[in-house]
Amino acid sequence: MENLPKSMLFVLRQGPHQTPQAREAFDILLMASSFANKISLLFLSDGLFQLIKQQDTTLLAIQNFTSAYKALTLYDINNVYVAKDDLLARGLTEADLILATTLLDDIEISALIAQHDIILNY
Amino acid sequence: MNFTILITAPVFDSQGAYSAYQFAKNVFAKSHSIEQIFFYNAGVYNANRFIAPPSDELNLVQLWQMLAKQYSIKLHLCVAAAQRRGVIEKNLADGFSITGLGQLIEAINASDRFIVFN
Repeated sequence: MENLPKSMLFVLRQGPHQTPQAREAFDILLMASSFANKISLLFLSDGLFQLIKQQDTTLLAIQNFTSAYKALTLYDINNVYVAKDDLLARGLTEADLILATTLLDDIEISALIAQHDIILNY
Repeated sequence: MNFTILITAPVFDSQGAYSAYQFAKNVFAKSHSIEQIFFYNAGVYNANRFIAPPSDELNLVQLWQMLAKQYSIKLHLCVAAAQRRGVIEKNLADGFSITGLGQLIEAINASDRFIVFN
């Protein structure tokens, strides 16, 4: 009964490279996937910039962890959600994103949060 | 309720870590328990034993140590995050232990509630 893997929703709100927060959050989700936790990702606000295609961090002298989002299915992570309004507000479309996502409105986001045991707010 | 608390905010430079401390204290005041407190990102600075504010200011490192002792709770750090920020065994404050993200996930799976302080 005890210690069953919990379902986790990562709420990712921060841009990819200004601070290491996003990259270190990504390390948590990789670890969680190895524990068979069911994982979903929700990108809100500037967190959307983590999903932009063809990022090049050479001039920043840091690794570009965002390219690993392409490989999420290898880790059995198939539930990736994006706030529709936040996408539009940043002048982006689904074609700008590195992987297929599901667009959600505010009401659907509330429902998504309610469906998970654990919310990891980053 | 049994809680796991994740702290990503540094000591002194942000209010997040002290908010986490106040929350943790009140978890016990309300007769709940804490499975684990995990320090990650810049939160690992909370475990630097050389943090030495003036005596009339808050010393959060000491407060964490007293809380851990009083309630026998675990204060864990992620080794990768800590090494990147120069928090290693040499300057690790008593009561903290350097572990890994696996410990965090295990604690999350073992607790009723999980909360992040950024």
